[in-house]
Amino acid sequence: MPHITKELAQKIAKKLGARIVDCSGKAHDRALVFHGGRLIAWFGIRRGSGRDLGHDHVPKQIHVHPRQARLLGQCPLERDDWIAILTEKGIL
Amino acid sequence: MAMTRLADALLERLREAARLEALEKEVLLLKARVAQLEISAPVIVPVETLAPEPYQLLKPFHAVVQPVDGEYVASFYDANISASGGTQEEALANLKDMVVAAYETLTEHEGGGLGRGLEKQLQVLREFLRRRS
Repeated sequence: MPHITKELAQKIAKKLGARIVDCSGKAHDRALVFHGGRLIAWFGIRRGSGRDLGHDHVPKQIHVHPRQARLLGQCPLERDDWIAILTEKGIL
Repeated sequence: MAMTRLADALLERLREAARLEALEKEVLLLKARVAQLEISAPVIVPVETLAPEPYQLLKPFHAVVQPVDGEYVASFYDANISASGGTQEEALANLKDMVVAAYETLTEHEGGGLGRGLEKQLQVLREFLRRRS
């Protein structure tokens, strides 16, 4: 079972307040995360129907450790905490 | 005297058999470890085209495909783009889709609409691909 499932990726997108761009005909929809009017991160959400589809690529795309990505989806880590991580890494 | 020699020879044969059995076990163990390493070792794949997408690769890039918990993650490290798939081929196909998605998404928001990290990502992507006119 993947660390990050499609269901968890969708929760992460929701937690980060991502705008979901529906891309029918493509392999992925896109989750776009904005901060201060700028696009600061994005990741693909696979369009397959399985809730358990692997999304282990998401942590790299949002610049966090897989454990932190899981925490984002499961609640303890908030969007503001994630923004702080990106700021610390010089990505914002 | 003959009985003693026979007993010694038998004992030696038994020791030899035990040594062989131990060696056989060790070889099987090593074979299993090598097989495991082969499965979990990352594979580097050169990507030379994004067809059928209407994009031209200005230079090939290397994708690193590695197993993660029964699935595969393909990464284009220079551009920090990754994608997952149930097989190596699917992960690679998904990575190509994501590379195109990245280019389209980032060019749509360029001109002040991108964070620092994504501006860099777009710069890298421009070194590798452009849309066919």
